[in-house]
Amino acid sequence: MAEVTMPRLSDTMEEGKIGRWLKQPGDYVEKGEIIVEIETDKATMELESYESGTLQKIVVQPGQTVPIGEIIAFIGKGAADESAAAPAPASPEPAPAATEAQPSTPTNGNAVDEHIKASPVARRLAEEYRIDLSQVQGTGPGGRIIKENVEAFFHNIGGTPSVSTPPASTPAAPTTSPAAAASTPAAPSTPVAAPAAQAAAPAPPAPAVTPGSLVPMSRMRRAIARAMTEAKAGIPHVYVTSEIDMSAALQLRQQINEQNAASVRISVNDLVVKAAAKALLAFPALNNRYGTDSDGQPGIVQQTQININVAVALDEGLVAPVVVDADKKSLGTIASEIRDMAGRAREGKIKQSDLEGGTLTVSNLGMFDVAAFSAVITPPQAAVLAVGSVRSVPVVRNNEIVIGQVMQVTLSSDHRVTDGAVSAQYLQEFKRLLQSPMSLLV
Amino acid sequence: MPTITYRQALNETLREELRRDERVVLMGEEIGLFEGSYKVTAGLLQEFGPNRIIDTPIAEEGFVGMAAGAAMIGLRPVVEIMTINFSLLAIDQMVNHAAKIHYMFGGQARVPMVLRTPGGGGQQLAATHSQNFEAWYAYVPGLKVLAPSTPYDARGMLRSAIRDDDPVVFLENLALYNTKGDVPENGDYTVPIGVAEVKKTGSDITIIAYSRMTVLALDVARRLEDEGISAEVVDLRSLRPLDKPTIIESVRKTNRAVIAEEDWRSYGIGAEIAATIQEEAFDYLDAPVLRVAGVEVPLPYSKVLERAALPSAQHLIDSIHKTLHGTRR
Repeated sequence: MAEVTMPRLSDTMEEGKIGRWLKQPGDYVEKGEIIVEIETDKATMELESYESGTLQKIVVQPGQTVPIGEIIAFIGKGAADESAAAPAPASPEPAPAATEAQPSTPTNGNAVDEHIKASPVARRLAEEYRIDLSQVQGTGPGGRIIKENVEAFFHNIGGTPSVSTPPASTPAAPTTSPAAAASTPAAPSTPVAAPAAQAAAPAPPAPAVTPGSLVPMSRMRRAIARAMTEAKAGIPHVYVTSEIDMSAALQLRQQINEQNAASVRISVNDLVVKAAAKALLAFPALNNRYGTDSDGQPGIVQQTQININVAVALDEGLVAPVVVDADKKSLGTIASEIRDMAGRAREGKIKQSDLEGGTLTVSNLGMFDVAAFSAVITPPQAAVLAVGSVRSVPVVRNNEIVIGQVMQVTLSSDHRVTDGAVSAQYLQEFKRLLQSPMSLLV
Repeated sequence: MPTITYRQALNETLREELRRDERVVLMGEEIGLFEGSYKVTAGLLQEFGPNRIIDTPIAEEGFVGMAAGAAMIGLRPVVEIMTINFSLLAIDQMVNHAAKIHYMFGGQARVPMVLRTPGGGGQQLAATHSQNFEAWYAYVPGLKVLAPSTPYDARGMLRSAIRDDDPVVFLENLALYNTKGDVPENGDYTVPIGVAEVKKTGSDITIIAYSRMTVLALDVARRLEDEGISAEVVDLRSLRPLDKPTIIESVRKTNRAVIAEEDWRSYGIGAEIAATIQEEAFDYLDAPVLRVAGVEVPLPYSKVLERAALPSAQHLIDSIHKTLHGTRR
């Protein structure tokens, strides 16, 4: 049986995506016949068969991307593999020599879809964190799950695996250390409930702090440290600050809430998220992000969907669930989605899908009575909006000093993607929306 | 610290050891009057005379056997074989005699000899004069096999080899003779046998290499820094005994490894290291361990073809990229 492998179709090609199979398992293929369309970094190209025979099996499905040299199909004599999928590896010819290039490509039967490709260290970590690998997206060759995918997943679910966690009452609860250590700090420690787990826990609840001692970081803390270092070192930040008179917005909010116009109470932050999203419609540059093509040439990745991350502080760090299409959603929908996701984040039940796809982040420290602050951009986004408290301060209105409700915001943006003037104009629009807040309702 | 060549480091070390210990004698083809094909023994006949710097006939099996015998009765012979290719004529003496005598005769005699010999391709010397047989020797229990990559290590390890009580195969590389490095003057240091060295620290991937490939690996590792890839370079230095803990510790840290060897790929040093890594660090691997090695052909004479057949920096870079495929770096 002959292997069909991902060919090198251009000098710069490193991997290829299967577009469409023109032959199906069981079809007879003549040498030179086109069997599949492959999308490369440059174009879609057709692959001719180097062999004559029956297409036995398609290993890589349309839409999947694999590196050059990876097996994508088998061509051989006789019928397709479907019937022979069972135990009999049959074929009098030598086994399809598992070449060094693809040690873990399953070559038998229909186990392909069920077999999760994951590196040994990824498997070990998944077990340690009690993560179900079928939920993790692999970015390695052929979609193999690698260590950093598991770590990112673990980080994104708040460092507390929500999947397949045995109920707390299970006496034989696994005592794997990070999971135990990370288990929700909100839960009161009930020493009688699970003595076994308590005894085996590596970190006893000893509160004594030794000055100068180094306490290892949690996974989430480490992930934050890495991302923020990457952002500060790699992204040239430019900061623009604006002051917004929130009087009208607060009035609108009061009206909505008094009249129970929405199913949940609207917060200042909900108004901010809506205004931030809507202002992006006028200044889409801030919704894009920096990127490089396969040759490493820099470019700007165009992003048309407006998805706003809302930073939620947790005891052990923070997560930022995403409000998808925030420009299109009503204030009520935004408010209830944020409430729901923030609640689940605090309970450690946030899903990976809640955290993906954001295009701009809103970080609000208004509840902590801060005048203003500057935030660090979350890679790969191009901007983050840092929101301070709404404060009663003297303002000049119609040449008179009156008490105004002022909120300061600072936009940090990626200077590679855009410039301070664009940020300033974006903030003007953001300010206009909040100072004429009816525009947020239409 | 003075900067000297690998060749000078060997020459000075031989001279110092000849001065230090009168049991040390040198044997080999054209090492006396002609001062060696690669001039490693330059000036030694003049200083120490024909009783200690012995020009031999072109009869490798004979003089290697003689060295083994001389070692058994108390001398410390250092044999030069002009290139490793010719050592095959003497391999029976090394494998069946030098390596076995201490074991087979109840420890009554030891064989404190050194067989020095250069290997390596890239000099347009064609297929029979461009080989690396380190795997053949490293395979044999009873031998110690060293392959230093720098003048500093060459000096420290040749001292260790000469002072060791067992037969040592000391592998040099033609392309390393003119490489330079810092070596302390008069410093009577030794580099221990069986200890690898992390020549550059890194966090993303471990490159494991020895001899000339270490030089290549360091060059590649520095170039990769520009791409934001932090590669650690482990220089094996000693092929037998192999310093497994250093290799394993590094791979546990980086989760990825590529092995660079100038020799052919099949059944080689790289295969041994890769097997060791999967045996002892399986749960730490994030990608298959890859080998960068010579193409499996008798090395061509043509410059273009020879270059294509030998492992290059680009091969190593490609393998590293392949190993890091899918990471955000």
